[in-house]
Amino acid sequence: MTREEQLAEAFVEAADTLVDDFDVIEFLHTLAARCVQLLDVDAAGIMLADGNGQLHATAASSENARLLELFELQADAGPCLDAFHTGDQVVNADLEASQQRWPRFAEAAQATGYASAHALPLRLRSTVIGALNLFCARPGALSLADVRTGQALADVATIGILAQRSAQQAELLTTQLQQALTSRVTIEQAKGVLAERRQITVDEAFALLRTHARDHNLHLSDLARQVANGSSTAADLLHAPKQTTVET
Amino acid sequence: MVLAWGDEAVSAELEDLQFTLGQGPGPDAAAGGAAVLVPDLAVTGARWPQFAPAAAVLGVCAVFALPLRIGAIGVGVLVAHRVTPGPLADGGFADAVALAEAVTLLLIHQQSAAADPGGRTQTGPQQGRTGPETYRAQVHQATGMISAQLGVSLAEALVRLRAHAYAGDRLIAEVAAEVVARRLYFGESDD
Repeated sequence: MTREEQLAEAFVEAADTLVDDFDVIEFLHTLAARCVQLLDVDAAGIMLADGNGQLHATAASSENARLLELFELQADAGPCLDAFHTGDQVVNADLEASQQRWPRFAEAAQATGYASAHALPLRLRSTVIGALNLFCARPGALSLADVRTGQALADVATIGILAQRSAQQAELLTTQLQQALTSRVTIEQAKGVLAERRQITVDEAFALLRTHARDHNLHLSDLARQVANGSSTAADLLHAPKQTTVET
Repeated sequence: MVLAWGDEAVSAELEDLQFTLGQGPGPDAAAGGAAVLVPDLAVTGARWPQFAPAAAVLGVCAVFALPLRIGAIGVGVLVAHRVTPGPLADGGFADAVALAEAVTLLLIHQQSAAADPGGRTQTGPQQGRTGPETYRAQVHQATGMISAQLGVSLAEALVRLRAHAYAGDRLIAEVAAEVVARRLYFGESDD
């Protein structure tokens, strides 16, 4: 698939947010994956703010625990928090030079192997609902084209999320975000249950969840709830597959 | 489990109504897992054809229902009402959410203590230090793992995790990290 085709697909996916059956978490995961695919970055993640203005990691391009930790650290200080508060882009932040600005975050990000970090606000006019976080392993600036494309994706995502409600009242937005956060927590709980039942890592557990949801046309959040509660409808997922004989 | 906020008599009647009819903002919030905010019942009441007019008779004009849950752990719903229509005041919803979160933890601990009086989970919800580095994701992952290890509900698993942290005077995040790294196991032989 050419880059143009990938880009077009990304925007079509964003337009999907306007249908009734929209799953915020699933969408944000896809968006994060698209960013890594389309931009010269190595990892991406989306942070959304709750009703108290506290940022939470909602989706990432990989379920790597250390990457997720990098998002959690930004609740206190980091490019995402700055982008969220100012509504401005935070681009080309050289982590080496950012030790004073964001001490814990800069150190952890470098330890994970990243040289630069960027945050693009998820913003519609004066409403900022979070930030798109991008990480690069190679030093150097993010190209202008990448910043524009990344911001365009962030903008479309924001419109999609906000368009979920007919009247744009603060309460309705918070409700949607609360639900997204609840979904996130449920997914983490499900990862734990699955990891223990199948004796695999939580990262592997997440991959299994996503594949199973996709294969059975389920919303990731719905499947996560079933798995977290150990419900029988998720039985085949909770048990390791039996040895099957090869059909001839 | 319904927590009511507002005039006591009216709250009780409102809860009775929703329970009897099986419809209303409370049941919707509990089932859907998302808050159901109704600033003006007269406008959005058509959604609950039996509940809305009955609530109006009670003088209720606005209802706000928040689910009490932590991910897949659901303990009930918080329902607030007002006799005048209008949305929650600025920051009102954020406050309600914060209250719901605190109350949810309280209820989880209370339910566990009630089921196991004098048991190993004697700790209040405030116990178990949470430092600035609460790596929340691991806390929820650990909850899931402990639930599978002990064969108990997620709610019970969370209580056990917090109790373990409190007993050892450790941060919940630390204990959770150990569980996820498989250095700490909550089999029945533990504690």
